[in-house]
Amino acid sequence: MNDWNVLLAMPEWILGVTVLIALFQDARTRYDDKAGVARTAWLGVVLATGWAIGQALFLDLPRQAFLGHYGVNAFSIIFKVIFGCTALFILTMAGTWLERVDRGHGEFRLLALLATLGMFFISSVEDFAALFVSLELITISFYCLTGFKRNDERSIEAGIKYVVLGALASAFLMLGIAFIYGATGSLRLADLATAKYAAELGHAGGALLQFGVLLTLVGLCFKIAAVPFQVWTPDVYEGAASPVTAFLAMGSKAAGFVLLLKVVRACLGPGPSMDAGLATASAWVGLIALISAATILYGNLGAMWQGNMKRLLGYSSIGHAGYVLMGVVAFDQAGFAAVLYYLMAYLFTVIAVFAVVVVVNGVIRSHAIDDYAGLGRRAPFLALVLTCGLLSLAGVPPMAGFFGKFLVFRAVVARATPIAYALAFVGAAGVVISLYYYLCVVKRLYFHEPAEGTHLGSITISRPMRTVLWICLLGIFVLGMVMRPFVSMAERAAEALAAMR
Amino acid sequence: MGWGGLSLVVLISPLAACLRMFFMKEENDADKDRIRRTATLATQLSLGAAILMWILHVPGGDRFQFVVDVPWVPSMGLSFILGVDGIGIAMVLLTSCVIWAGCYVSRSIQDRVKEHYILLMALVVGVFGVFLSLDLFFFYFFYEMAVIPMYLLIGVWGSRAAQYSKEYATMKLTLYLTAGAVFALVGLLAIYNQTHTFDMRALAGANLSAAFQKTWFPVLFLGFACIIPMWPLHSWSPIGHAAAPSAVSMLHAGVLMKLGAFAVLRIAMEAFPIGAQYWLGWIGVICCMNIIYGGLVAMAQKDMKFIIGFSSSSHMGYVLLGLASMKVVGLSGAVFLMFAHGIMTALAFGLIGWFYDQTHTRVVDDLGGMIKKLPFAGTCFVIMAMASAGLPGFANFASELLVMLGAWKASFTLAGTSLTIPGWIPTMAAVWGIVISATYLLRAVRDAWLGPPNPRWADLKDATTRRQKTPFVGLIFVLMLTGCFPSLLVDTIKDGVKKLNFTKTVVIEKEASR
Repeated sequence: MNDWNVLLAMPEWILGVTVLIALFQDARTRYDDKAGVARTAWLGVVLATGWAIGQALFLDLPRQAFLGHYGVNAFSIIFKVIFGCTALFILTMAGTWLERVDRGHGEFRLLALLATLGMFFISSVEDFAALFVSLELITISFYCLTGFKRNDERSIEAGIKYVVLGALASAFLMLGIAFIYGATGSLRLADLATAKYAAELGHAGGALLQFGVLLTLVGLCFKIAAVPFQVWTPDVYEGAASPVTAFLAMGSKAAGFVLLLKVVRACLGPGPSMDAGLATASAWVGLIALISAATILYGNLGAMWQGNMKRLLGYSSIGHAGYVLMGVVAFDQAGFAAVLYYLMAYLFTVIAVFAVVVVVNGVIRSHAIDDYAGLGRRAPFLALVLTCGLLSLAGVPPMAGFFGKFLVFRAVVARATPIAYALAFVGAAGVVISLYYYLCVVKRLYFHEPAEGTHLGSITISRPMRTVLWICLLGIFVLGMVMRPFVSMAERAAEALAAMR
Repeated sequence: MGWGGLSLVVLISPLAACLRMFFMKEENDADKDRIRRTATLATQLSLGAAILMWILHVPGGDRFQFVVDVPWVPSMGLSFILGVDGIGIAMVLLTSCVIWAGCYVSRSIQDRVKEHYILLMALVVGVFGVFLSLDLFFFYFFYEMAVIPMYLLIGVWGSRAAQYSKEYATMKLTLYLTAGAVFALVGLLAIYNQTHTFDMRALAGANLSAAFQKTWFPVLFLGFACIIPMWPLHSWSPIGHAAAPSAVSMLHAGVLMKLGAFAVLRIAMEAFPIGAQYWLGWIGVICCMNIIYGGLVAMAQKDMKFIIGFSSSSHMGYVLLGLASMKVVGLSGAVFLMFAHGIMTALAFGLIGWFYDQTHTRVVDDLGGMIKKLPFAGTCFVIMAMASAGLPGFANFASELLVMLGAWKASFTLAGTSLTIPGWIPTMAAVWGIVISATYLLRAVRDAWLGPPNPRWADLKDATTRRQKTPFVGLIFVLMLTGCFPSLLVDTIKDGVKKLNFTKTVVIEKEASR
């Protein structure tokens, strides 16, 4: 525990070095020839993710480094793999998207790499200060990425909106951490997690700690786009470039959940058995349940009226944050495992949908849902992937999203309290509403003919994009039907989270 | 495993066809024909396996036969279990007959043939899966899986239903069914919470507390009642029937509606026998609404598909009545009626689709005297109408009789009030229901098929080739065979019903209370 073990953080080292190499490469190449940077970025992420997988296979886990402020366990490795895959998909999508942009090819990849580095760190560090710094690394990279289309008003608007609100949320988070430190005298999650503190904190200390946790929750709700801190989502999703939106929807959201799980685990559930939290844990569960229910309803009801594909996905991603929060409400290992499975399923699903959006937008130059009309005849494969992706988002078997939702519902119903049942029924209503608006898109793909005057040429899909689409399609069905290996992974990770000390 | 492979054959042959067709091309008529043949072959295999199951089923033997059990996610107590009891065999047999006929009827579809058959097979995989699954998770999995292909099938290949567009119809149907399913899912998970396994065979011995049963029975029942469809949750169903292409209407009215009743019987009532006993009075009252209201609305319809659609919800009222009786006779009747009604409506929708393809109208007043032009289809239609109106010699008569016998002996206590309704009151409603159904069916026959021929339809073509006649002849054969020799099927069904845990428990409880 008191070792430095610097090499345990090899994935992060690899990514850091990759950023530096890419930076030099970027400075030394012409603005229109960034294939080298792209290759470096790709290779770096592959190596880092591969190393993380290697750690899972060959190391005796869990292990700690940097004097116990950094941990490698099943939980952190699963998230690193999720983030690594996300980054690879995003880099590939960016390759296609950047062809339409005249400059900034190198910077885009650098920023994406930096965000990925932050995500890798946030999976492993077990210290509030380091968590905050990692989260800022992610968020600040995203500020730049969101406003990346500098000639596009909406992109700039989105960027500014994200900066202002994001900075506010970070301030809340910082303040919360300060209160937690004030109450406990330590920034290490493990110190918080030991029963010692919960017992020794007097009434005043307990109140201080809880206030800190509340403020932290405010900051985190912003990151995961949960009600009432969700207002930025549709605008930013619409304004940002599609690969960035995908990265936000998957990477940034999952990073928020990593932090949320760690905080909830450390501050609210003291023992490794997780059966008893703070004395007031039930009040906390009630609060999170309320946020979850409100988020599900807001996201899904809001999405019903959208005519723009990216806004629709923005609202739907709010709804999905609500479902993932249901797993947190369950507040036990089954719930945390459900969260992990949900995010794994969400990875393939959301990337599939956005990959289609990127390809289609390249041809029709529009994000209006009406312009997707007749896609079923023009580009059957794209329409198929989009349909499967949307149905997976809606939670229809045999797609991955279904099993994620199923696990989340199972975990919540297992609480067997009136709040839990109420939340489950709200979630059920959300499923029906979400099916409605996803089917409204599917309807346009297959039932409608393209409007007069729209671009009718066939849609060509580049080789890398086709690979991404196939992998996601396979992922959607494999996670929806062959759940056993993934469930056991998620369960191992949840166990590691519970045992974290 | 023994004969367990048969369950797998039933389920996997449409699935294999689905995958095979995905990689087939559809460029000319020969390709289209190859696709149709692949699908037909798959349904024939399923039908063959289902008939074998029916023959090989040992009535006195194990409750569930042809069992396949593969652990799927052991840490959650989730296994892939297939198997059937007597009730399941009747349902599997029904499904395979209807889809077999449906594949022939679908030959009239020329646009996007490949997608049509892929979705049709996916739908059937879902339906077979529900009837075969002995695991709550996979039961729900297949149940939901059956809904979505339906959405696309109706939306792409369907037609306008009176004032409603096909998009409206298919969206309404999908949302209703999903809402019911998700609602029921919460109930299923509540059961899982108590038993800690998804294995349905454990439901019989679950012995859940009475309070728990009384709370959760309505949740499960209402969830499944959406698909039965029980009044007042029925409004999606006639519109959906009317908008769907023929094969889908056949499957939808013939089989999909039975999923709900099957689920009520095998899950809701088996897990919650006390809850069911407590609430069944209300079911007994509501099902009369189904019978009478559905029948009266059917009388007012002009569109043939709407007539049959509302008559279906009327007939499902009899099924509910049989379930509510909770007697072996009534329950066997209900299951037998599910079978008979399924075959009968499949026949009806197949025939209506047959002439709709040529006339593009289903409104009774536009037709007239068609039997002169379509002697074969007309004869089949008259036979269907007779069967539906409950003429002896058809399975419908035998099954409705059993339901009424069961209902007469039962008594319905309305939970929450002190009222008890004697069994003969709902039975009288059911008898009047038959009179009503005879009225609208005979009127439809008179106006559309008999009388002076409408000159607009001078060049209608009758079914002439064997391929065109096979499905109708086959369905009529099944209807008459099981009608004349009901014991062929009723014995199998009764075996399943007798082994339901509550047909025993209820009796024991009654003796204890005396």
